[in-house]
Amino acid sequence: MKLLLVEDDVQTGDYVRRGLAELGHGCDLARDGVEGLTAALTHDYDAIILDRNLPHLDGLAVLQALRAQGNRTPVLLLSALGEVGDRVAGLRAGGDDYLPKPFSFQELLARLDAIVRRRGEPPGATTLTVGHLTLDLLGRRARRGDRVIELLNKEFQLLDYLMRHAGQVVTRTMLTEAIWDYDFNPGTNVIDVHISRLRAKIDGPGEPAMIRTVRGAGYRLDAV
Amino acid sequence: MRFDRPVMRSAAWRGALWITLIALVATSVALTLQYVQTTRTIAARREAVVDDEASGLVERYRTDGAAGVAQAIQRQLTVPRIHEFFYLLTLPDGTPIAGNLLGWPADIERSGFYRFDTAVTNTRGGSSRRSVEARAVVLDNGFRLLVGDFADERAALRERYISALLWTLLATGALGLLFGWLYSRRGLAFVEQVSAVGQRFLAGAMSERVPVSSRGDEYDHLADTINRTFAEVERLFGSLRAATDGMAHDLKTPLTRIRARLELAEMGNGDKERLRQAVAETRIDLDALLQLIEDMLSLARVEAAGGEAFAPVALDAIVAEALELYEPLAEEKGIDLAAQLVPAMIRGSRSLIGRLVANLLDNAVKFTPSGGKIRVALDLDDDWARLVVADNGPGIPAAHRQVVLGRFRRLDESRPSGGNGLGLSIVDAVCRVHHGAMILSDNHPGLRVEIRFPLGRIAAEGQGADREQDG
Repeated sequence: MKLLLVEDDVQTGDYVRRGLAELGHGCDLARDGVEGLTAALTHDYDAIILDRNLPHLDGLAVLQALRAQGNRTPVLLLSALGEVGDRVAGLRAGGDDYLPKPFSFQELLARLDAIVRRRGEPPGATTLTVGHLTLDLLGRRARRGDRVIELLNKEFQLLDYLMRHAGQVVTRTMLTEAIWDYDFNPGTNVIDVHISRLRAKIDGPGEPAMIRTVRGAGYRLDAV
Repeated sequence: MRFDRPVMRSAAWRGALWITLIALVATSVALTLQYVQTTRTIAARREAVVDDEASGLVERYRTDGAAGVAQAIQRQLTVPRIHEFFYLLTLPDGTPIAGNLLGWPADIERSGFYRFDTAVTNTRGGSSRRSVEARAVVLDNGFRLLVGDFADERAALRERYISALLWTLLATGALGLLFGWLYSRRGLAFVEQVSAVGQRFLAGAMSERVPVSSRGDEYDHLADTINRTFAEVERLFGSLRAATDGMAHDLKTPLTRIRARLELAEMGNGDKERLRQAVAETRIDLDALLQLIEDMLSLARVEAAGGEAFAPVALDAIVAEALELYEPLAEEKGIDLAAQLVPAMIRGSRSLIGRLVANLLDNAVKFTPSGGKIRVALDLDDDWARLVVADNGPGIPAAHRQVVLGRFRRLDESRPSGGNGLGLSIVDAVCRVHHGAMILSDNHPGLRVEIRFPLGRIAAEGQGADREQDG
């Protein structure tokens, strides 16, 4: 991926850029809002990581200017404020996701992956398919091969989210945000328990595991 | 007593000066008015007496002529009287015929009432210069008659007036300044005292308070307000210090572990498995650290949250969502989690209340042993929506119930269940910003947490809700 990071904090900027480079992603670094906006408008990036608090031109203003120019590059907002109101303001201004500081690098990667790939989703589909697994969005049940799997409400939502992000790492925070709409960590291992229940239904005895745990990051659903 | 500022510039002193000045002016006006009125009354009375005497002589002139008048005057002068008049009867050219005045005053030509100084002969034969007031009458044949009274007391009165005025002004001024000084000294002493206490408070003596007298005056009100401010600052500072100490401890413990682990890994000389283990364990510690920081920020955010962004929210739906989140966990732990909810609409923040409910459930699941049970109930009474989460875990001893609301307070530091001890603090803070109340009680055994949210009226009467909560 080719990414633009707009971040005035030198250490955070360098750390994120090195991390991304380590994984083979090209990353340009802009130190303030004006520089960031210029770079975003003159280059074609896969995604932009935009800090909320920037010198000269605030992150939200950069985002609004970008969207006003018709630029639809996915934007992940970073903020030390991380308040609910900020989150809503950020998403309303045209941000694709919002990540409060402090964040883990894995979380950042997972979210970047999610917003970049989101663009390819077919709108209006009534089923989702990953390998032998099919999710019926209207009937709200799944089928693995010939086996029909009945799902409870939250299990359906979890699977729906995992399948839409198949092959990508999905963090626990992303799941609590997407399914419970919580902007905080509900603590302990609540999400793990939900996943293990879902896993018990999806990965039957003798079947290869589709839902995998990614250590220190989250989960990933693979086509097997 | 040492004054940092000149006495003359103090507000109290200026006030005293003004009051003294006003008192001086008022006293002067009063004395002057009295003087003028007294002299007028005396003058009017004298004029009447003189006129009466003069009209008697004029009457005599009409019946007995000038000779009769002269005779009458002569008799009046020889007979000693309590009230001494003076008389003068002259020919038309001013030559005296009878009387004790040496000569007709040059500037009196016509009839009228005059006031002047003149030489007068007295009964002992001498003459003296005296202040007189007299009625001049020009009689039918050009004879002139002057009847007058001595007005020496007028000068005496003026003298007395002036001296009285001086003494009174002196006394008023002295008293005004004395009391003004005393008063301003009380003000300055108060300011000095507050300033000194404030300095010591700033220097770290946070138990310092301004002394309050029993007078109950404005100074005492001010002292009381200042003391309450100091007390609040001390309380906040104390809780901040406790929070900082707690946070330092909670940060240091995992950081020390991480450091030790890294050092061990370094000594392992590239043992892959050992390194992998160290990284995995370190990651868990770091996650806990991040969570701790996030919770700290959350708490600060909740505490700073006003009610502006509040909207009507379905409390039962929020509770049901949270229950759905924790049910599998409870089931896995072998805990019987059951709930009874009624629909309840309150004003609030969905996100904050969600956090509150999740924290309560998280706590309950965490501390309830396997085979235990958790009961969640939501019901309504006239004023409140009441959410009760009761478990049969170890509970919290009554003495510690207030303590657990403080940041980082864990009853048992060695407790293996994790968490950073901020859970109930956050619940309490969310409760407060919703004008609600949180009641911890014994579930025999276990902990029973009751949260009360006010129904409805928050927006209409924000203050009212506050009072309600207090009462």
